[in-house]
Amino acid sequence: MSAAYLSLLGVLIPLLALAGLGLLASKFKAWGSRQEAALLAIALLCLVTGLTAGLFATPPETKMREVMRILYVHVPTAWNALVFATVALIAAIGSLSNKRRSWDATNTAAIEVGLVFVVMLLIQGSIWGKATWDSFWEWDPRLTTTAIMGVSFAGVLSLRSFADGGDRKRVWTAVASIIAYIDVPIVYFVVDLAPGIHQERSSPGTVSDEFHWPLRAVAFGLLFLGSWLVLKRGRLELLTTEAEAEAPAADGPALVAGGE
Amino acid sequence: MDKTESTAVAENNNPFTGEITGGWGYVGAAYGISLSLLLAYTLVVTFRLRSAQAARRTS
Repeated sequence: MSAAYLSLLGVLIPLLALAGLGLLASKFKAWGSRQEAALLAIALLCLVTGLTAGLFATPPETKMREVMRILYVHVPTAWNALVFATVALIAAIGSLSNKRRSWDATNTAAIEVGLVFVVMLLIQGSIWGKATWDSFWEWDPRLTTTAIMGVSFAGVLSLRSFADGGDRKRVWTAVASIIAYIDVPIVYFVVDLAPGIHQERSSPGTVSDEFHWPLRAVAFGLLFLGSWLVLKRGRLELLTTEAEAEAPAADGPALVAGGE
Repeated sequence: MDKTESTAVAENNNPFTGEITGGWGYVGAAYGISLSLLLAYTLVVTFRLRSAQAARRTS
């Protein structure tokens, strides 16, 4: 099979998986505690296995030595930050086309989990940068666009907190999530379009075979843990919006004119 | 060519050229901060959800 077909499959399979994940997340009301517990257990098993292997069983890299082991947590965190941004995009489109609250809750939850992953990513990258570049931060295109992604996710959540009324909240969150997503493909492709200090994209073709399976185990572990968090956070958001919708409206303005 | 040697360091403008020793501190910091952040977020979400469900049941 040619490299072009493999590249196409490499794009299509994750996209289909993401669409499935988005649909699954939007149905979280149907999830029982047993399924959620199983998801968490698989996540922890993958994480413990992958991280233990990455720390102790795989050889160090020839030049960076032990510091390279940050790869096993940094690269899967980056992959999953983009995955949950894409889940948020799917949920945002679903939220705009279908007014069901579960889409809106999934959108909010995925943005928040994505933000947690981006913060982790930036911290890990800073530590790795200090070790290899002797600098916590450089205005490199990959680093800068990733920081913009984090700020835009925080912006979506901030905007949501300012919006009043359930429907306005839903629409503003969805539209802001779609706008914030513009940066996601830029983050992914910027190392090709504008190479800087950041190394090339990590993939099975660019790292040694010994590093593959711990990377994959941690990636699946973070994917399952992130999905579990989206389910929990989405349910919390659903309860919050339902409580807001059921709360009696205020009788009038807080400051009333009158008096002598 | 052994990919271990060639690819973990970018072949572009990466200024890193030397060998790093004693990197376990950096690895520990990266793993420790990341896992602590994940754990803290998980606990916050879990406790907030539990209290929201309890409030729902009593209302």
